[in-house]
Amino acid sequence: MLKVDNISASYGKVRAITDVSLEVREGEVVALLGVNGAGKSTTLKTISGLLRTQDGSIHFQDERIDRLSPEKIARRRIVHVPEGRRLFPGLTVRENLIMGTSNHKVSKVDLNHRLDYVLEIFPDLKPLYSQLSWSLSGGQQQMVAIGRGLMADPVILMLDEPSLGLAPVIVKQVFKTIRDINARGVTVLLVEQNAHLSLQVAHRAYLIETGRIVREDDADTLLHDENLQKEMLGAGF
Amino acid sequence: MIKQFLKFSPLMLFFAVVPFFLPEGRAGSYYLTLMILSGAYAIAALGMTVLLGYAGQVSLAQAAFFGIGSYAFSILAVKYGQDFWLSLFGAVVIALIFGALIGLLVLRLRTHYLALVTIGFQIITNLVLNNWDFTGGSDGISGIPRPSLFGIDFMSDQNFYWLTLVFITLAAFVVYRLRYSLLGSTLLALREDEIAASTSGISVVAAKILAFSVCAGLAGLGGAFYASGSMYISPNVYTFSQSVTIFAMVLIGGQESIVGTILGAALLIFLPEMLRFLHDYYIAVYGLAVVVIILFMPKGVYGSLASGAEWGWQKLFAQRQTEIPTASTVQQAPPEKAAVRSDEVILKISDLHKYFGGVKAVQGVDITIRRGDVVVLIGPNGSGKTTVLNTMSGIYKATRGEISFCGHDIVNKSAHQISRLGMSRTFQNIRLFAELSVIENVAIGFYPKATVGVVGTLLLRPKGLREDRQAEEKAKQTLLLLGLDRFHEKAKNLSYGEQRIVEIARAIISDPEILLLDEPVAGMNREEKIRLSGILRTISGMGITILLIEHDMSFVSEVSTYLYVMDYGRLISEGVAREVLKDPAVIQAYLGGEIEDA
Amino acid sequence: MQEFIQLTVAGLAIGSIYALVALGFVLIYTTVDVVNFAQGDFAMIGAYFMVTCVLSWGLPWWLAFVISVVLAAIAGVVFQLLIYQPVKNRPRSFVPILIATVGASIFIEQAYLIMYGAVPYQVPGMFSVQTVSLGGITLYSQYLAIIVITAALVVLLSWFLEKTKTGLQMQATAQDPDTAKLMGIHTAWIAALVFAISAGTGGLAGILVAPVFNVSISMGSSIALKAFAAAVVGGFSSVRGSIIGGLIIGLVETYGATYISGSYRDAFAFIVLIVFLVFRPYGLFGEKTSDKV
Repeated sequence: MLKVDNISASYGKVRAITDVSLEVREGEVVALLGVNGAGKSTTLKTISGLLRTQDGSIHFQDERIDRLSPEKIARRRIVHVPEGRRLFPGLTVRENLIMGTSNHKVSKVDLNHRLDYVLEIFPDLKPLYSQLSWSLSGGQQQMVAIGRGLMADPVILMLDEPSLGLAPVIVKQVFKTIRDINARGVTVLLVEQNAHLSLQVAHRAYLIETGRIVREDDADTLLHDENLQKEMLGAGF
Repeated sequence: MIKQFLKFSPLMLFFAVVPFFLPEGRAGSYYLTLMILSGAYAIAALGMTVLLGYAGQVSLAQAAFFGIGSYAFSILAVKYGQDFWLSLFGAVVIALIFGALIGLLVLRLRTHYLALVTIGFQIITNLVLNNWDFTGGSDGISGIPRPSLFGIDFMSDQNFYWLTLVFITLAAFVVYRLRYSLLGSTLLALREDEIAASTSGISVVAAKILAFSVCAGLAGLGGAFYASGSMYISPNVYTFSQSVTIFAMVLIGGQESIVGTILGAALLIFLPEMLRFLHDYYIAVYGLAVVVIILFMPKGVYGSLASGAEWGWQKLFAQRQTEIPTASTVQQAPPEKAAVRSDEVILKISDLHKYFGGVKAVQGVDITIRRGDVVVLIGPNGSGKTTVLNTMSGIYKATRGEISFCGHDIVNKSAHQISRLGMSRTFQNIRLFAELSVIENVAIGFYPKATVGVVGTLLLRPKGLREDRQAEEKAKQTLLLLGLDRFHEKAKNLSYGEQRIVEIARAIISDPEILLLDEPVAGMNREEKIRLSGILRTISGMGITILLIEHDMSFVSEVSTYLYVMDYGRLISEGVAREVLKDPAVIQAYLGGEIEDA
Repeated sequence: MQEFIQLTVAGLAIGSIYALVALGFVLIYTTVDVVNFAQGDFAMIGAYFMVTCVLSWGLPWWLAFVISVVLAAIAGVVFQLLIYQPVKNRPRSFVPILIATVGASIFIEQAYLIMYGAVPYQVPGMFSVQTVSLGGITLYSQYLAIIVITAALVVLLSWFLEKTKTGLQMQATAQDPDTAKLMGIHTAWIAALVFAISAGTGGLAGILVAPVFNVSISMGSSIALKAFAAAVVGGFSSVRGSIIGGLIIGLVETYGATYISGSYRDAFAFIVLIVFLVFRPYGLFGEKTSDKV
């Protein structure tokens, strides 16, 4: 469904990713794992059009998308939930969720259905509905961010470090939710440094190191690989 | 210093002989008057070069300072009958004081807010000039004298023009000296990155006030020459639109260029004459020209022409620059402090909290660091490590808690004060002064050690020149020690790994007590990592205590003497690397446990 | 007492004008992060369209009013395309945009000077009656019209920004443009819309104030500078702030000119501006934000 072929990208003169290739098939959860600065987020940014690729191509449902603007890519229901939540701080939870539907026309009825659906997944958001989003805790913000992504009716949902800065209990909730969302038919591309948890929800995974994909494997194989820790975090562990 | 400044002499010589080529009679004397006025404006525009070009601060009040200079001079000379030179001195000082006050007023302001205050000041100044009896109201002041010195009478336009030229040269020298002194480099640092400047020990406050004072002082000088040159002044010269014109002079010259600014001033004063055939359309064309220049010539007319010429020159005479010597072997620095670890606690953080809105980034962290340690702070992304570092170095104010450093309570100290106490740092996403050369970047770190003041710097006191050289030498040494020799490359043109090294060099040039490093090896390949761990050993060998944030565990186990682990804003483990990395809580924080046990 | 009430109404009316222009500043600033120093010229443009519609073409007031506001809004979009789009991605884009807008302002004013000449035009007000008597106090009808229309516009605009999806998208773009793009919000279109709205309100301000000040090329910049002060007092961030800021500046200026000194009339707004910027730079309603490293 999503096919990334040998893309490279830079920030100014600093090369961030080189010859990255990956593939996401319909219905899958694919994890892209790596330490800070490895190029995970950069890969997502090139897919969603925030960063231009210098080489290679990206195809989505057989259409080439790597020269499209971010808003056009969003309209193809490729939804990127950015790192660090990035809610609109001055809007309420509800308004943030509604902003998720900016990529397509939606009727009042549909909008309410969609809001109900998000509340069903995140019942904790209900009492916070009319609060300004900057006042929420990190975990609550992450729920809103994922909820906002779901409002866009994604064909593929790209989550950038959804566990970032959250307490362990909340982190587990987030991963359960990802599994839940996938069970409802949404394809997920998950960027994480939390390898164990990610591999428990993912079908396949890619390891990325200093801007290059160094390994691709089944999640199960990786999960039981003794060397994974070392590969990801260096030999110290 | 003076030798390099001599490169301006052809330009000055050119201007000096211009009067001989002017037509005889009325037309010639008219052009000469215009040239005197251009000269006065050029001096004021050079002030803007310092403020806008070097310090990156916007001001639309240069005509007000120009006016203050004109009026101060005229009132001193006409009403109080003071001598020309004393009045000139008074004009500069009074304008400079106003500049310093405005600088003080706008300390916390940036971009459009800054522009607004200066516009406000400009308009109020103009209103006062128009309405105050003391300044002659809208009639202004007439009968303003010209000087004589050593028996030379400057009453004649030609002589006065040459006098103006001498003062333009002096003003250009002040600006040039600032650009290439340690003191002036604080202005550039302010422009490039205020946060990195303050963590390098530069007081942003002092730098801003310096920039505004110099800018206003030069405006005052220019204003005095304008008054004396035209012998009559009235408020309608010192308006907002005149400020815009002076701003445009600098812009056309290309913000940072001294020659460009002088030519820009001449151009904008002569432009109305050249466009005279356009009649009413002149100002419209002028506005349009400003827009077009901004849109299509980001470096200014002069800057664009100059870089075009350079390009052509290189095209024609494709001379390769002399080969830069490859990195010499890493020199071993003489250890300046005892490289032994001791039990002396140099940094102690207790119960630190930092909240952003509803997000509790740090909640109750205690860290103790002893002299000579290499302490590593690890934890998953977003666990609050960088926030701890930022709070320590004064970029954030702690919500609650205490930090003591070498016996000082530093919670309420500003970043530059903390830096001067001996805490240096680097940043996760490297903060170099992008447009400055490698050596300038590093030398700025030496600034807190400089002792010569503003006057000493401008008067070329040998001590100031010595300190500038010393900073440059030390910067070279430090860079070579870390294995980098591309001294004159702009920082933004370096590779990622090299930028890291420059940032570290800038941090250690001041011989800090402690060095904080935020993810120094992120994004580096194996070789670069190995090189960096060597560098850290060298630094540690110099007796500098190190605190770093890192993810790469092999790197961590290799360099660390003690480890703290954070997760979701709290410490979850501490100890030596061997043991901490086996702690199940740590492994779980990094790699995650089982989903189902929640 | 009667004089005081008359002054207050005059102050509120002129304050409303400042508020409308300030609103334009704030909308553009919050959404596309640009301070448009040519904002006042939209007021001038609107007023001159009115001159053409009423004086040259003899259109009825209301029709001329609508046409002029729409034309001013279109001028805003053109301005956006020609001035803002080319420089928006420059590094440290603040300085080039500042100068480009200042240069554009000079150009626009001079172009109008060439087209319309230096002699000010007199344009009729909304009502044919010059004054009305309320409880024994005589008031200018145009002042009342200004206050009422401004109030109506503010209600409309608040509703648009807070209750409609497009309005929310404008706010979202203001708060985080990159994320807004990720949501599928067409930020370039939002930018054009913002310029249209703020030029439209600016034009409206010019049309409303035209019968009071007369139409001249200098009207734009003098209104703009006061409107800046209003925006700063209001915190440069909200509709509410701009309105209250505008009214405060209008009242301070009117009282100051009458009770303190007429010749320093133009200084009062700037004194308020400087006091605010120095002691409360985030204005009455703005929030203190610390930028993250």
